[in-house]
This record gives sequence, structure tokens and C-alpha cells, in this order.
Amino acid sequence: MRVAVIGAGVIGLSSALCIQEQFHGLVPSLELELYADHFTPHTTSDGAAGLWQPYLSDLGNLQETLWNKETFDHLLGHLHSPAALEMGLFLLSGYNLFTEPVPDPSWKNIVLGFRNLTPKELELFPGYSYGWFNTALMLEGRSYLPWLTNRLTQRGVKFFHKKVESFQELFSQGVDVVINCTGMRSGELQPDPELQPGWGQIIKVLAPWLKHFIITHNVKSGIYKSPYVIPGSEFTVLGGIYQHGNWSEENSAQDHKTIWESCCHLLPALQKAKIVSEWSGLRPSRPRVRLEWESIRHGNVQGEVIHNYGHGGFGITIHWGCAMAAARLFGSILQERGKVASSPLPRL
Amino acid sequence: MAAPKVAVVGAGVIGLSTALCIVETCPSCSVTVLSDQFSPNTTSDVAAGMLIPHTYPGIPIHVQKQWFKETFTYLFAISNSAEASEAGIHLVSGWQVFKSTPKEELPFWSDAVLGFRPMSEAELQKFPQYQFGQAFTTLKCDCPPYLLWLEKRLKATGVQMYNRKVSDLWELHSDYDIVVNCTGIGAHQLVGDKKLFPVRGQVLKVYAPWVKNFIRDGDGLTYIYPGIHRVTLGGTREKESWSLSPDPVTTKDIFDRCCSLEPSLREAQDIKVKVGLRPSRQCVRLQREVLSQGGVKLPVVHNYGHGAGGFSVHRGTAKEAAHLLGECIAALQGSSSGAKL
Repeated sequence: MRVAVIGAGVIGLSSALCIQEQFHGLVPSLELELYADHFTPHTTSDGAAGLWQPYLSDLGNLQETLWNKETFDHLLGHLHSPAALEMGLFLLSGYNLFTEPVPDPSWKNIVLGFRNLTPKELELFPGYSYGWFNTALMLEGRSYLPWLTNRLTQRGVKFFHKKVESFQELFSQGVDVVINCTGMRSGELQPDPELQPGWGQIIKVLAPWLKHFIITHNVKSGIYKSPYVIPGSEFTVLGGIYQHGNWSEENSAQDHKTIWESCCHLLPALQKAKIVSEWSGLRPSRPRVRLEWESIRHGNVQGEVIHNYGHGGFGITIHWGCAMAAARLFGSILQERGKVASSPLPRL
Repeated sequence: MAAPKVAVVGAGVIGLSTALCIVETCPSCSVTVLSDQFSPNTTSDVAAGMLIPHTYPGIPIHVQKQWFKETFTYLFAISNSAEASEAGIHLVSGWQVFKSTPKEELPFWSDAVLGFRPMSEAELQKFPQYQFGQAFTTLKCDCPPYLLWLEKRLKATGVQMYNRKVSDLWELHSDYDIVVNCTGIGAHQLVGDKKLFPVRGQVLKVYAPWVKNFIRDGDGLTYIYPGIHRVTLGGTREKESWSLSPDPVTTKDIFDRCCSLEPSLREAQDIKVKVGLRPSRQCVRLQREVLSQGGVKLPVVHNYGHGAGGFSVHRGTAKEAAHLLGECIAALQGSSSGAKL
């Protein structure tokens, strides 16, 4: 059975790993291939700071909250393992700031030590009158993606540096199941008007004295449109740009100015920080994540597609829960096809 | 007295911050700093500079609390300014964990730091050998940056600094009107203070930039304090040991203890070992004295003996020392204009 994953961002690599880990023993003929035109460090995932934090509201989407929790718990379990550093995984505490009181987020009991900010803490952030403190996790793409890639390579997954033009292209080559993790460009494989770019830009600086993430919120403007500062293991990411519908592929001087001025206003010490690089990318935004199984028939060619895209600005936050769900869908496909003969399916 | 000439002996955090307080409160004073060691070779440079107070048995708690609050407020303002990175002052959050619940669950300083609260069950799961813990946010003064920043501010106000070993306070009486003694462990020899004793501390300063939270065992012996560039791993508390040489067996022991609190430290790079002698005393010697020899008087303000708590109270004790200096000046002026009978 040939399975092709399209996409080598955090979603593609983790989906491939979940499927490989769970089914390699059960499906003797399982051949896993991964196709992408961009690999780390050139994927959207590589641009993300890597902070585990969902959006403020889950909009009643309990499924996504559960996937977020599954991801957090999975990562927390790895925190003390020898692989943690290689994965780019570590704890990070910090602040979420608001100009008015807001309801607690869906993830308050998922992170560690969630609490409201005290008046004295708010003195640090003039202009903000309400906020949260909690300890969350960082999972840096530039370490995590290579780590996932190594695990996959060790397990015999084959990588192809190639842009896939259609699902049919793979089916006609004998692929049975495609896992579609193409993020922003999923629309090129199958039009999806709900998938829209959430353009963002970040500035990477050297500010090693910063030990907390600081994320401000402008509830009226929307997510990521207010300055944020996220210290990584080497660099600190400054951001605060979200433009829905903007397909631009270039850094914007105007946005650089917005980010720099608003972050320096938030943290005056940043004025002394050395700028290292700039990056912009497209968050694959969708009202909800598309994670479902679709049978596709085109003439004589038929195949199964598991879609796993549309993770917006919370791909890293939700990735493992989605990868496990994709693996469960794969198990359903196997069940339907009678591919797993004697042994019972793993608990899905 | 037109421009009192003040000599501050000692250029660690106590000497430099005291000199700065004097300059701030007595602009007419001419202040000179004399020390045989400057940053990066002072005891302060070895310390992590965490604002977590040490309790002095001989000082009323309300006084210690006042010193800590003053220091915290002062540094808090710097940490929030554009100078934060140059001054080496930054906020850091973390956990103090206890193997068994301490008698005193709320230390006297719990309302002076930020966000102090007991750790949740979920947080404690990260520390399987520990039963109880406290989470809070405090400040850290990284050295050398903080000392260099203090030196820079002093020089900007015209304070001169000289590398000089003072073996006897009387050496200074002809050039200075008042001496401020901030010699830390040096006071043992300089003024023969037998109540002052070293508590040797060995630490490791390692490169582990992914460690962003502090972790401290409530017994004070094992701690992980992330600084700007390096993480300080500690430590030891060896009373009456004067040895400044790093001990390799101790190094391994500190490393192992810290790795059991934070396993990822196994990957720490470029381990540097440092030793400092905490200038320990039942209470900080913060008092003025008039030395007398052959009819000559030399007013002295003592500000030493901060032990493990130097950074935590430095600004508070510096202000008090400056206040005592003011009293010395007033006394000199009183006597120079003729004693009132």
C-alpha cells in the first residue's frame, strides 16, 4: 500500500510520522512517501516563532481545542526526554495583555499555572489594564522540522523534492492514499474558497535578556494585529501583522515599521536589540481546520485523500492532535479496504 | 564643609551602588571609589544576582523587607526602561520547590516579588521528587553588565575610580574626610571584624539559552538561574572556607543536582566554574563609627556583611549608608563650626 504525504511543513511531517509509527507493523506492504516543493528551512512552519498558544476563542470548536490539548500534553511528555533539545522543545512563560477584561480562553487549563495579572505586573505594560500569565511550550520549527525529517528518514520514508500538480498525478502512479498537508496552496490541488492567506511579517532580533513571551491583543482588530514578542533559544521574534486575503510574497517596509515601533513602544529595551533578519509568510487560514477523508474518482483513477490543512496561525499548536486524527482516518480507510487482515486495528 | 571628600572602598555591587546613592543624595560630595578588584573580578561577578532575599537572623524582618522593596522598585524601573539590557536587569519567572512543605509557606518577601502563588499540581509534576512549590516572577541583575553600568553612571557624574589595595583605613585620612567601607569579605582583614566569615560558593556558568525559567530548591543549595547569556548553576554553602579554587568534585555534584531538576541541562555547553566568598554575618554591618588615632578623627560608614543577600538588598542598604554619611557630614560641620554646649 502506497501512501503519499504532500507537504513538508509541520503538518505534513507530523502526519507522516504518526501514520508510520502506528501502521508500519500492521500493514506489511506500507510504503510511505513525502512530496514537497519546499523543505525546512523554507516552509511556512519555519517562519513561526513556535509558541504553543491557540487563538483567544475557539469559536465553539471543541474539536480543535481537544487537538490543541493533545498536542500540548504530547509535547509536555517529551520535555524531559533526551530528544527535547534536538526537537527545539522547551518551557516558556509569559504575558497576554488586553485593554479590557476578557473571558478566560479555552486553553486556560491546558497550559501551566494560568492566572490573571496583578496590578503591579500591569505597571510594566502601560496602556494595558488586564492580562494573563502562564507557562507554555516553545517548539522551534527550525529544530523540530529537521528532527521529524530525521525520524522519518530513519524509518524508511522516502522524500521527493517535487511539486505535485494534482491528486490524480499520484493516483495514476499507483499511490493508494494521499495525505494532503499543503497548507496555503491547498487551493491549487482542489479549490477551497474558505482557505485564505493570513499574511504576516516578523522581525528576528537578538535580545537575550528577554525571558518571557509578551502577546498584546486588540480585541477589535483581531488576532495577531497587535504587537507580540517571543524569545526563542537564539533569536527573539517580533510580530503583530495579520492581513487577511493578502497574497504578497515580499516583506513590506510599512509593516517593518509597524512591528518595530509598536514592539519598541511595548518594550523600550528592544531599541537596543540588533536586527538579524526579516521574514514574511502566509498563514493558511480557514474558519476551521479541514481534516477529513475524501474519496476522489476521476475517470478510471480513484484514490483516497485525507485532507489536513487550514491551520492558520496555530499549526504548531494543533499539529499533533491533527496528525493523530489523520492517522485515525487512515485506519478507517484500511478498515474499509480490508487491508488489515488478521490483527485488530489499534485503538483509534 | 564645602565639598566633603568621600572615599568608598570596594567596587562590588555594594560599593558601587553606595557610591551612586551618595552622589544622588549629596551632590556637593566629591566621591572616589578605591578597590583592589573591579568587575569582572569581584565577588558580585560570581553571583547570579537574583532578587530572592536571604534572611539575616540579626535584623528585624520589617527592615529587611524595606531594603528588599526599595531594591526591587529601583531595579523594576530600570528593567522597564530602554537601559534594561545595558544595565543587565531583566525579569525572570520560575519556581522554588521543596521536598517537604516548609514551615513558613509565605516568605516575608512574597508580596514584594510579582505574582507569587503556590504551584499547581500540574506544575509540580515537572518535579517528581518535590511536594510543594511556589511560583513567582522576580528580577535578575546580571554581572558584569550591572556593575559596568553603575561604573559608567558614576564616571558620568565625575566620580574617580582607582585600582588600589587599602590595607588600613588610616591610609586615607589625609586625602579624605569620610571613608565608606564596602569591602565585603575584605573587611575581615581591613577592620578585623571577627563576626564576618566567608561562606564559599562554587557555581557553574553554562551556555543553555533554551532555559528561560529559574528553578530553585527551597534548601537554597541547588538552583538554576538563567541570565542574559549564561545560566548560573549552583551551588555550595561552605562556612569558613576561604578557598577560591574551583573544586572538580563539587563541579560534578552541582551539575548532577541541577540536571536532576532540569534534565535538558545535560546538553549545556561551555561550562565555566567560578568561586565566590559570601561576606556573611548575623546582620549587615550598617553603622557609622568615628576612628580615633593620636587626636585625629576619621569618620567611617560601614556597609558590609551582606552574605548571600547582597543583590537583594543592595539599593536599600546603599540608601541607608548614604543617610549615615549625611549624618557624618553634619557631625563634621557641627564640630567645625564649634560644638554647641
